[in-house]
Amino acid sequence: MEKQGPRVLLVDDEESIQRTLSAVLPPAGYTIYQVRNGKEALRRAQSIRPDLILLDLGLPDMDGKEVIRHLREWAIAPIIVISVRDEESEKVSSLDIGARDYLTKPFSIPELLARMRATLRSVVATQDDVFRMDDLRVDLGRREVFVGETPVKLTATEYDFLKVLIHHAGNVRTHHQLIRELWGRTQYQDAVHLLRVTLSHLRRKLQPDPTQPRYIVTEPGVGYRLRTESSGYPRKIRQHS
Amino acid sequence: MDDSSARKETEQSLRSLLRLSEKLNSTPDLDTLLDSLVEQLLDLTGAESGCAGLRTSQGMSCSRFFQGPRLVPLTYQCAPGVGWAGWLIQHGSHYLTDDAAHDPVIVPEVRERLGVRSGIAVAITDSEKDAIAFFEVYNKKGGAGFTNADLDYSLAAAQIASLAIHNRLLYRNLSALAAFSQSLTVTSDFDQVLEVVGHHIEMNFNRRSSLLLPVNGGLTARYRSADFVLSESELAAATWSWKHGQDAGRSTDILSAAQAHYMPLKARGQVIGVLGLEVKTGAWFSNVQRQLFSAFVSQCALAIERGLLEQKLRRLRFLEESDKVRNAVLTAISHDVRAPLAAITASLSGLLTSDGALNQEAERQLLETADTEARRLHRLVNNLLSMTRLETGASTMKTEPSDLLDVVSTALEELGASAGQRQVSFDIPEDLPLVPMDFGLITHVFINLFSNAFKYSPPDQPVEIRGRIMDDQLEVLVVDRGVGVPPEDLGRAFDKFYRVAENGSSSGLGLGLAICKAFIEAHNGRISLENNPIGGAIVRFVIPA
Repeated sequence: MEKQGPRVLLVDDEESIQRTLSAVLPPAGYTIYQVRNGKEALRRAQSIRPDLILLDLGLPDMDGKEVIRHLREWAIAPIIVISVRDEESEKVSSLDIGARDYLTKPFSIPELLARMRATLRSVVATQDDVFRMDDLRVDLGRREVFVGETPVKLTATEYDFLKVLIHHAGNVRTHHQLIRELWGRTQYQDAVHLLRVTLSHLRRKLQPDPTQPRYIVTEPGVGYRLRTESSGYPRKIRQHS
Repeated sequence: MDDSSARKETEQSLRSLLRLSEKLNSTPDLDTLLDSLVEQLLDLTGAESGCAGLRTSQGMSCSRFFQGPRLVPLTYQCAPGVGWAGWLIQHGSHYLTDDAAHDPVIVPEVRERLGVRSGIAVAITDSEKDAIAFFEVYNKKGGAGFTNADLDYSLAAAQIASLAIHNRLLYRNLSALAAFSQSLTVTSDFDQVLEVVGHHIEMNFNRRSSLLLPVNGGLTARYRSADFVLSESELAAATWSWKHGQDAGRSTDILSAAQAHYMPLKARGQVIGVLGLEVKTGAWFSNVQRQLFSAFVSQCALAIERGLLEQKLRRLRFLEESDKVRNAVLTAISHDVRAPLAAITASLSGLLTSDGALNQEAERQLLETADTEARRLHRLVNNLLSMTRLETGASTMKTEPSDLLDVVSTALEELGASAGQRQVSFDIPEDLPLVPMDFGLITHVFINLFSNAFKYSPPDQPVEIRGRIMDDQLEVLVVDRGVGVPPEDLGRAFDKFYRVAENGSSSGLGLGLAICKAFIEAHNGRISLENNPIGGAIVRFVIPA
């Protein structure tokens, strides 16, 4: 039997998306299954048992979030939402209900592929793992952080933040999710502030040059994401202060 | 008394009456009029003291008591039936006695205060024989009682006074009506109109009122005097009045258990609302006042109708404006969406039909063009969306302490390829504190500002961004070395759809700066544009830190 790539269930009623993705995903190593409404999605998910689900929210027979809710009850496949809805509230609620990531249409194919890879990769934060991205190297076993050859000293909070992001590398984590993982149940407002300040310090320590594409990306109103592939756009920039 | 002295007396009395007539007709106000009346009556009848007063809704009010020429500080309100004045209300014409000590009707306090032994009280009536005022004279000089002649002259005086008083009252009421109309013309706010109406009714008729207008199929009280209680039964009477176009409530046959009297307000045959009026039992309305009141009510109806029409007009104008904006947007879309679409279509159709005629380099260029134009189109759509959301109130601000560097970097990342080849230099202190702002909105501002800077300055020139805290404000400068802005356009730069007239290549609705302005001002900040003396333009904005 032919070895199959990861099975992706593509749920979207728009023909153009179906056509484009069915053209670019197989060459990237994926086996795709296409459905065009929520009921079909739930049915096929049961029979195919995909490794990953790409889900549009605006389906003809039910809201995509309903589908997420149902799937979360018995499916373990991660869900990446792809939707034209760009409101922060939609993103946060989708992630809270159980989606792993959220990509707004229109999106670029490289971005989609990067997110899919990140989602499928099982990042096991064991003692022996080392995370690498561009110049960033994080030795989770030794709790050491390097940018290029230079070691970086982080506070305990800053390191924990980085570790949580690494654990979900490539996917966006909401403020809420990050706060829960870092500090358990705390006063939300104060925690968000602490999160921002920690991030600000972390960024400056990891990337003193603000002009370079950043490791940690801000998703406005939603949360943060640790990038897993090199950003596509090099920039000629100077800083002076 | 012999003939000649009798004639002399008659002449004197006639002259006195004449003087009375002259005085009354030249007097500007009612108080002076009443004083003159008493003065002349004392002269006419040879009385020592007297008083005069006006009819009120409660009865007769007397505050002008004269002892000889001196005004006595005494006021008295006679309810109908109380005292001589009250008696006049119920029985009309006049009252005469020369034994005040045993008179059952006179008010004891008045008798004691003025030492009344004898007196005449005369009602001053209007054309319908309704008492509108009165006067009294006491104690004929010389100790004797008042004569029939005195009574006759008094009655004559009452006739003369009647017209003068009636005119003054009419004038007073007309002034009130004029003042009312005047107040209505200067008031444009609808709720204020209702207040003015209620206030004038209270002032002129001493009654509390309520104005009810139809809202969504039912009546709602849009104005209410203090203490005017609108219970279920009140509302029922008001609603009945509205539905049937007739009076209801107290002192009518319909729902008379209500506390107040409700009358429909009609304009052009339609009932547009209901006026509820407090009912004071036993209260009296003069005929003039009745007329005044119905004039008030018509004015009131007209004012309300005008207010409603103005509201409709405002709504129509708003729709017109919205239409105008929609049309302008549609026109702009037509141009600014077609341009990138044209480029995309051309590129892709060219590629599809090239049939191997193009080399890799050419193919790549076409694809890149399509990509760039698609992004431009995306930004355009985002701009349109943002503007619409902001204007329709669909989006609200979420202010959180944010990192300026974070916002700027996010904006540059979203610009992606267009920013890729450009130089951007940062001048932002490391210790710049977090500043409260809506992250998404300010990112959008930077996207637009950078987009402009990249478009209007040559690729080899850097774009600079500076940020600092100054006077509790975050000040940001975006500096480019481009063509700058024509000085005459600096003021209009932030208007919607404004665009620097460039040689052909201009795209992006011209909403960019207008959106920046809207978003910055939503933060209670300010944004400005000026030309850099060394070339190019500087956009400066400040928001509270």
